[in-house]
Amino acid sequence: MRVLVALGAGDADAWLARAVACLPGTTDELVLVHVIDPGPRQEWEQARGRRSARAPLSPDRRAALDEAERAGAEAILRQGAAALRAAGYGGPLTQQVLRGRPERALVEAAAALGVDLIVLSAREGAQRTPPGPRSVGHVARFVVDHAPGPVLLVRGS
Amino acid sequence: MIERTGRPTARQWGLDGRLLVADPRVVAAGAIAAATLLAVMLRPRGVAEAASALAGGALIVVAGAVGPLEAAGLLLDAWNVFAFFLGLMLIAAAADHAGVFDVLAWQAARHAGGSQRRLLVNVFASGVVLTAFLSNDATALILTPVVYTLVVRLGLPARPYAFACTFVADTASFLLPVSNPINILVLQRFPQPLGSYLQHLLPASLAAIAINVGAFLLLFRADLRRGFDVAALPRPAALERSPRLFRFTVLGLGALGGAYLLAAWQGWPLGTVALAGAAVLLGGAARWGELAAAQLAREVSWGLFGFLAGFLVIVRGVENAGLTDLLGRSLAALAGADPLRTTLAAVLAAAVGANLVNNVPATLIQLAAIDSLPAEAPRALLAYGTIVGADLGPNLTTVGSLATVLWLLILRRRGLEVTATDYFRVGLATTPAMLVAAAVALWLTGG
Repeated sequence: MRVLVALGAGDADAWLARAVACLPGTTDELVLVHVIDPGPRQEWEQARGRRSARAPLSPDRRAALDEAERAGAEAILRQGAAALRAAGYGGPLTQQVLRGRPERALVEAAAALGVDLIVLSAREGAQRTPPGPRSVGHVARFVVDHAPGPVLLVRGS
Repeated sequence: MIERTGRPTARQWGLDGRLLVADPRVVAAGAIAAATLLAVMLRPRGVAEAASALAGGALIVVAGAVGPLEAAGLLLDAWNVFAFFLGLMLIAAAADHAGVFDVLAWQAARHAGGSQRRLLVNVFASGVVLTAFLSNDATALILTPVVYTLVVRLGLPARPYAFACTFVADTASFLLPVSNPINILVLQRFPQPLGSYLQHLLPASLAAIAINVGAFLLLFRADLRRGFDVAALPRPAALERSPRLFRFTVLGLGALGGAYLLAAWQGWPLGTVALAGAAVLLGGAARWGELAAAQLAREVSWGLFGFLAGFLVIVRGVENAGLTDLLGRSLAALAGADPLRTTLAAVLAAAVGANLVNNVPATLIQLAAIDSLPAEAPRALLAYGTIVGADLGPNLTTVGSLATVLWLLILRRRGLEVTATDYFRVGLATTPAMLVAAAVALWLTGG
């Protein structure tokens, strides 16, 4: 079966190792996905509007930002792929960078790629998940609610 | 000091408190001021704030609340503030062109030892130094994208660092008189020696910065756990492109910092120092760099001058109409006789005003209100409180005034994707504590 593994900037290698340990035995292909979230960038671009001396962001800066976003996403996936191999996964593995609000991008990618299972962190970056409803972050909750197929939430510890 | 001789007062117009509202000139001045503030807040049809302010200023003159000569004199007297604004923007552009911001962010990452918590503290430290000498907007507008680019390239969560840059720009902006143009505006009207300024506002500033750093380490702790490898980071291009320009600019900025302190100590106009510093740095950029004049002109926010000029005239009109006396009396009632209460009143009034519309008109109005108080009022304390509130207050609603935030909330209800409310949440969680701590520190240092 084809499995989509969503990897956030805050997810550690140890989390990936745990996710590999949870994969069903029938897994025969992994798609490792990272979503570039334009949210924080929109936030501070919006905050710029408040400034008395606001000049538009120069084209150079904008290009450098786009380039850094791509390079950062690729680095996250590269490191993730290495961690997957180190954790004992030997099957086919593809990497994909997406852009958009993470929860929506993941659901859309799962449908478009026709995956059989989505694996993601219950709360991105959280090593110890708090008890109660906060143990599942908003991205995971949206994916659980809207995913086209089964979803596996893996905790930090 | 703004020259204020010859202005008609409410008393000279034969008015007293009861009749104020009935006089057409008073009604006109109040209505024009209110309409301008509303237009700046709501920006109907996308009209620029500067255009609204200039139109309001012109109407005030037409309505006779400020004479044409008085308005001209007022703007000429404010040359120091205008020069300071222009100098600041040019200096920031020159420093950006020379790669100072890129190298600072790069060094912050290199000296973090792979720890995100240390990186966040280093970003704060860089922001404090930049804000102190290059002012708040340099940090918020130039350091933020540089740091954002850096952490995204490292594959780190960007939010804590972007927030840190945006917040520290305001939190550190009353460290020195030059850290925020608002400070110059206040000191222009209520001049204070540098020693007194530092004695009152340095502890308040350090308290606010400490709370800001501590709160962010706590709020973003989940994001900051993972380590990072700095080897992935390329050397800043500016160091390869023009190492001479970089060295010259760093030396120039160091000299400028010294000149600022010397000028503030001696009471020399800081606008002159800023413009001279800008000229020297731009000379270096012309010699070793490739900073085009057109590009430089784009880095300057020309609308700001119109905005400030418009509000200087409008607030003078409101002052002439005696309306700020009313505000002064309200402020005096709020401030009471207890120094702690006075400090809190000045800080919170300025912070509320800054969040309602914008901190420039809020500061101008509060200064006029303070000036209308009797001579025995603690003007210096009220002025320092105004600086703290007007500088720190905008952190409460970082994305814009209260009107903007409400507008964003309405948009959200309609289902549009607006993430800016995150700023609002962090602002609400941290700013009240910073305001109160700074006010208490100000009170402790000689209220």
